[in-house]
Amino acid sequence: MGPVIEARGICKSFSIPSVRRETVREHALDFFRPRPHERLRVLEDVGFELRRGESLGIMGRNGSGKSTLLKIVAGIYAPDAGTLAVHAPLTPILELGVGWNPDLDAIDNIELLGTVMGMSLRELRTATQDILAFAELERFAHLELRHYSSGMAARLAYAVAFRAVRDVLILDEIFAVGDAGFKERCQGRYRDLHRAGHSMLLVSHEPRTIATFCKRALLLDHGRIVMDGPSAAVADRYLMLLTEAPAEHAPAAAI
Amino acid sequence: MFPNLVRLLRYRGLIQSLVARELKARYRGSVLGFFWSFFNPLFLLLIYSFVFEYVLPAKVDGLEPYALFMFCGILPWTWFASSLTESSNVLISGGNLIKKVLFPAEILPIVTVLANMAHFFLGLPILAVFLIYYRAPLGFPEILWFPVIVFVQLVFTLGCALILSALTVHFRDIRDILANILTLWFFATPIIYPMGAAPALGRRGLNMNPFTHLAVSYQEVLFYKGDFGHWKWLLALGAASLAFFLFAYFVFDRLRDTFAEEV
Ligand SMILES: Nc1ncnc2c1ncn2[C@@H]1O[C@H](COP(=O)(O)OP(=O)(O)OP(=O)(O)O)[C@@H](O)[C@H]1O
Ligand SMILES: [Mg+2]
Repeated sequence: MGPVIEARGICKSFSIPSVRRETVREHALDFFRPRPHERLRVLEDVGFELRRGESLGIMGRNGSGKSTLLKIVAGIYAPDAGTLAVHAPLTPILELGVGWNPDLDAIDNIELLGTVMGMSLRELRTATQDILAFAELERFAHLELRHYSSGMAARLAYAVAFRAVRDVLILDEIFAVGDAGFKERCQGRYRDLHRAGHSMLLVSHEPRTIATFCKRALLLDHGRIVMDGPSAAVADRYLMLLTEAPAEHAPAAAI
Repeated sequence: MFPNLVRLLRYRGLIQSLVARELKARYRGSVLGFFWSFFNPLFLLLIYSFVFEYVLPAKVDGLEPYALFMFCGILPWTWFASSLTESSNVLISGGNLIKKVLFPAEILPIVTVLANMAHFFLGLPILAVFLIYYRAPLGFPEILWFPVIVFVQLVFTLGCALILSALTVHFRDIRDILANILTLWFFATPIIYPMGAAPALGRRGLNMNPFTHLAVSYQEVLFYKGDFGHWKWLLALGAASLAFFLFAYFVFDRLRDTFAEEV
């Protein structure tokens, strides 16, 4: 069987916010006096493939382009250049609790989060009790979300997200949620999904997480893949990168 | 563009759930919640009635009772104006949904328009009670036009909401300009005055305003005696609105890829 995700030569750049035109007035003025467009290159010639059933880690310093790469893979950003082939339905979990409404209770929020993540209303009707049970929040099912502790809210979001996984799971460093017991069960759930044959793309800054859950990992730096290999080696190289150039914070070259 | 329009059908469940939760959050689950949705238009109508019967008795021939005449136009206008105001902001305030989750962005303005349509429907029972109380000359075949008018307004409002929400991502000051445009637009529409009161030249100008034909249609069906004579205008507006909606969707679709990066 072929890979589920194939990316070749992906490039992405953003226009730098300070020269962005955001109002009618600015556009009207610039019509006669065009300003040079500075762009920030965030990804350059990034290619990788995710094999079926594989769990692939991605590491890199802040601003190296990890989240941008995940968004391109998920179809949220369009790449400037390069090709991307995705052969299975994806479930991106880039942030927990996107779309929830603090004025509603847990049951309603499960429906909101679930439908936003692509579950059908029928699926949700049967899944709601499971989700509450996984989050251990049955007692608080009718409490409005703004009265939840942040950890409880995150558990709820996590439980919905795990339930919504279709084939390929894309996670952006959201392992550090809840107390130790809940973390344990999340990791258990993650292993179950992996064992059940789901492919995964996992961004984390935690060398141990990457080494435990992934056999193979990528290291991104300044928008390029500088290493693609066994996760333990990548994690070591990542730690070296951190100590090598601690002061340098410029994420990518401006052109 | 057309595949994307068809794809929207698959997102019925999401749209339904977002509209329902939006309404629920606004009238937050309390017993009084739904009461308020009735009370607000009722209060408005009572104020109009009081002002125009006791404070400022406006006796215009054929416009008795004036408060009811006005209410027939204000109720749909509120739906229209709040839909536009809210949707001009909706892609920016819902930025997290566009940046972090994968679903078609047009769902956000659509949900805004539908939620406001639900408010409009909640105001209708009040209107009905007053129509009956004042023995408004509701004709049976005439009233069948009502859903048609609502549908035309829905299509027109969706078109406006799509264009507005997409453009505001790139031109943030549209939000400020819009408030003024809506004020101007309100007074350029025969809502608080009858179409017949405008001089001939003004009437030609009013005819250029799409909302005129919606307001006049509501008034003719609900308020005035006699047949619904405005139906040709309504159907023409319906056809134009459909074309406008497709154009708006096209614009939205072209700008779609820029939303996640800009909001
Ligand atoms: N929409 C955007 N507009 C402009 N610049 C952006 C946009 N999104 C990301 N960037 C820039 O792209 C660079 C990479 O961002 P990205 O979020 O991919 O980093 P990251 O590797 O995920 O970092 P972190 O470890 O902090 O999560 C940053 O310099 C950021 O400023
Ligand atoms: Mg990131």
